[in-house]
Amino acid sequence: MIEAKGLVKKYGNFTAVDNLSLTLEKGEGVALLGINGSGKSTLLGMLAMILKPDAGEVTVDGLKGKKAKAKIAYVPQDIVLFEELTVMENLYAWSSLKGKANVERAEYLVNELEMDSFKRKRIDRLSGGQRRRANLAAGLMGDFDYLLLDEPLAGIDAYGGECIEKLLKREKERGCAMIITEHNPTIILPLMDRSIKLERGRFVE
Amino acid sequence: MKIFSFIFYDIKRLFGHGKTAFLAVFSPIPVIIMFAVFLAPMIVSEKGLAVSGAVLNEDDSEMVKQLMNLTINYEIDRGNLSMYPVKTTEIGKKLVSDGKVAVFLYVPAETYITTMSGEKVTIDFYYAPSHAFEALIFEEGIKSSLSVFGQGIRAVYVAADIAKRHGLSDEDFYRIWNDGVNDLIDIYIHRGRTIGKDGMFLFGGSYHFRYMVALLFTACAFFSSFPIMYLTSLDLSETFKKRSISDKRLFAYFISRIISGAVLIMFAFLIMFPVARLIKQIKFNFALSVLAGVVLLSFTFSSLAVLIGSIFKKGQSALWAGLYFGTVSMVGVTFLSDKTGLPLPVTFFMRISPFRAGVSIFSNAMYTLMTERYVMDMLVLLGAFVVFFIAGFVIYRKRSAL
Repeated sequence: MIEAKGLVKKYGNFTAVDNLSLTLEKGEGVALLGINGSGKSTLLGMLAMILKPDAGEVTVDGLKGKKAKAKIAYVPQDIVLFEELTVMENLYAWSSLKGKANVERAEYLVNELEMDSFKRKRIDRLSGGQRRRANLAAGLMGDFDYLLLDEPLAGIDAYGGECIEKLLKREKERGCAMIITEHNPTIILPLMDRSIKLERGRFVE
Repeated sequence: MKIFSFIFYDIKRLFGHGKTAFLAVFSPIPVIIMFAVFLAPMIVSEKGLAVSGAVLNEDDSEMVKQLMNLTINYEIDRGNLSMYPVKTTEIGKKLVSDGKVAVFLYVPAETYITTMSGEKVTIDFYYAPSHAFEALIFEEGIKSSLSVFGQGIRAVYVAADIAKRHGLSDEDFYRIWNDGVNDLIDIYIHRGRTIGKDGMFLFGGSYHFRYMVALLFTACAFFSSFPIMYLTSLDLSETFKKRSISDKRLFAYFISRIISGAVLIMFAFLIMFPVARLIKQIKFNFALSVLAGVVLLSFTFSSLAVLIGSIFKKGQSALWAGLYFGTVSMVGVTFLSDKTGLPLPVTFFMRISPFRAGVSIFSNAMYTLMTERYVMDMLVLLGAFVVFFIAGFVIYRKRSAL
C-alpha cells in the first residue's frame, strides 16, 4: 500500500499541494483528475519520490526511502529518454539502470505498445506519439508493484491510446496498483476503481 | 548489464550528437593546420627552422660585435638562420615590409656602454605580421641568449664595483670589466654550447616552440571534452532526475561516463597527432611516455568535464563555465608558468594545475624526457583526477537524487 500523509509542496508563495493524504491499496486503480495547475503532477511526483515534499511523508508497504522507491514505476509527463539511442537500447539501458537488463520484458512491451516498426530507430527521429509510447515502455521496465502515470495519453492518437489502454488493463490484472493523472478521463475512468479530483492543491471530490 | 554496455551506450550517446562530437573531435585539425601553415618555412626546410633576417649593429664596441658574431654566426652555421647586414634602419624595415626577410634586428649605438652603466638595454625587432611566428622565435632566441649573457654581465659588474669600492682604480675597473665580459663570451657561452645538446641558443629545437605545440595539444584536448559537460548537465537536470535509479547503478553510469569521455578525448588526440606530424619539429622520441600522458590527461579532463557538468543545471551554462575555466587556465599556463615571484596562491595553483602538467608532459616527453619532471607531472594529473572524480561523484549523486 502507498500511504501519503499531510503532503505539502510550495513553489515560492504558491502552494501546489496543500496538506493532502492519500492511500493506494494493492491492485487498486485511481484516476487523479483536475485542470492544469491543480497540483496533479506535483502530487504524483511526491508519491513517486522524485519530488521532495515540504511537509508530510510517503511510505510504500511500510517502507521509506530507496527501498520504497524501488517498488514504484513512475512515468513522467515529459519525455525522459536517451535521445541518441534507439527504442530498444533505451529499454535495455533503463532496465539496467533500475536493476538488470530484461530482454523479455522489453520485447513484451514493444509488442504490447505496437512499437515493432520503430524499435530500432533513434528517439530523436520518432514522432511525438511514438516517443510517448517509448517513454511509457521505458517507465514500465523493471520490477514494480505500483505504477504512477502522469498523463500517459497526452499527444497520443486513438490507436496508440488503445494500445496503452490494453497494456494498463493487463498490468492491473496482474495485481499492479496504479494512479493515473489525466485531463480527459474517458479512456482511463473505466479502468479505474475510483477517481479523485484536485483543485488548487486540494481534493474536491 | 555489465559496465561495458553502459560504456558502449554512453559512447554512442556522446558521438550521437553528430555535429557536437564532430566539432569536438575534428576541430583541432584546422587549428593544427593553421599552426603548420604559419610555420611553413620550417615545414619545407629539411634542416628545421630557417629564419631570414637583417641586422644593423650601430655599436662599434668589440664586445657587442663578438657577441653578435657568436650568437648569430653559430645559428647561420647550423642552417637555422640567414642574416643580411644592412646600412640603415630604412633598408632593414623595407626588407621586412617587402617580405624578403622575416625580421630586422637593430642594435643601437652605445649598447655596450649602456650595459656598463647597469641600465636596461633596448634592442629593436621589426617584423611583418605574416612572419610573426618566425620573428617570435628569432626574438625569443636572441632574448634568451642576451638574458644568459646579461646575467653574467651583471655578476661581473657587481664584482668589479665591489673591487672599486675597495680602492680599485678606474683603469683597473674597466680592465676587469672587459676581461670579465671577454671571459663570459669566450668561456661561459662556449661552455654552454658544450653542455647543451642544442647549444645555448635555441632556435631550431627551441623550447618555446615545443611549449606552444604542447599547449595546442592540451587546449584542444580540453575543448574536446565539451560534449561530456553538456550531456552530463542534461542528464542530471532532466533525465536522471525524473526516473528512479539505484546508487549502485548511478555509480556505474558515472564511471562509464568518465571512461567514454576519456575515449572521446583520446579520439581527438588520435586525430591530432597525425595532423600535427605535418609539422616536422614535432617528435615522438618517447612515444610510450607520451601515450601514458595522453591516457591520464584524457581521464583527468573527462572527470573534470563531468564535475563541471554536474555543477551546472543547464547544459549551456556548463559549456560557458568550461570555456571560461579552460581559457583562464590556458592563459595562466601560457603567461605565468615560467614566471617567478608570483603570489603564493598563484604559484600553488600553477603547480597543481592539470593544464600546466599536461603541457609540461607533452613538451617534455615528445622531445627530451626528463624523468623526474615527467613523474612529478603525472602525479599532479593523477591527483587532479582523484579530486575531480570524488568531487564529481558527490555532486553527481546529489543532483540526481531526491
